[in-house]
Amino acid sequence: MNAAMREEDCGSSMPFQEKRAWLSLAVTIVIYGAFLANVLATPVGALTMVRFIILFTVAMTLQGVILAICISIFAARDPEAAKAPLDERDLQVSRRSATWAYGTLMAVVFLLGLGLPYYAAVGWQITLAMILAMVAADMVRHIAIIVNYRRHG
Amino acid sequence: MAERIVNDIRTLRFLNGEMTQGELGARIGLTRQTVAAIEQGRYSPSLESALRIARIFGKPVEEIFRWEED
Repeated sequence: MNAAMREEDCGSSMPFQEKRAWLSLAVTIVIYGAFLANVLATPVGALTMVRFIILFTVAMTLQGVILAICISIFAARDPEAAKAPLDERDLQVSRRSATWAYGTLMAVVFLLGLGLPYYAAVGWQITLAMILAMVAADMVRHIAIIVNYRRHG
Repeated sequence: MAERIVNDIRTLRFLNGEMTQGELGARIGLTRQTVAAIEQGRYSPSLESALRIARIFGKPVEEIFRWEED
């Protein structure tokens, strides 16, 4: 077996950016799923804006810390891939994913704009809707990264 | 009938001192995974990268990349 074949058999076939996308998607689902469950489990009248902001801050911080730790572990296991600059395919996937996410954000915000005046009773519900719109767009971006890497290599 | 772009990069790497995907990628500014994707016909490189690949193997682009009917 020649060297070229050996390398292809042993090397990781998943690009570092795709690994990051998988990780970010999983962390987003777990953290914001827990955040949403916590918010929705609290009676509308009992949830103040201050408590809501504290919950959101905890969720955001946890997300950042978990991502930083996991990405550091990935980078330590494959330092060359972590340090490598984005190439043309990475940039193409990144642009496509951002386009999908932007479309999602626009669509969700448009729908929220139509529905919120009728359904949102208190201030934090409007804030929650906007946060969920951004989370949805971010999840679509991660999914788009994964799909595009799978479809294009 | 559908057409797709195929290439001989894998063979050319072998014939050029068993060059690895990583080595080829490093010489043209692409990651090993992108070179693998190009070889499998799942990603079409930019014109610039195709020309760089052709220059490394000393062949015209059309000898390395070509259309093939599915």
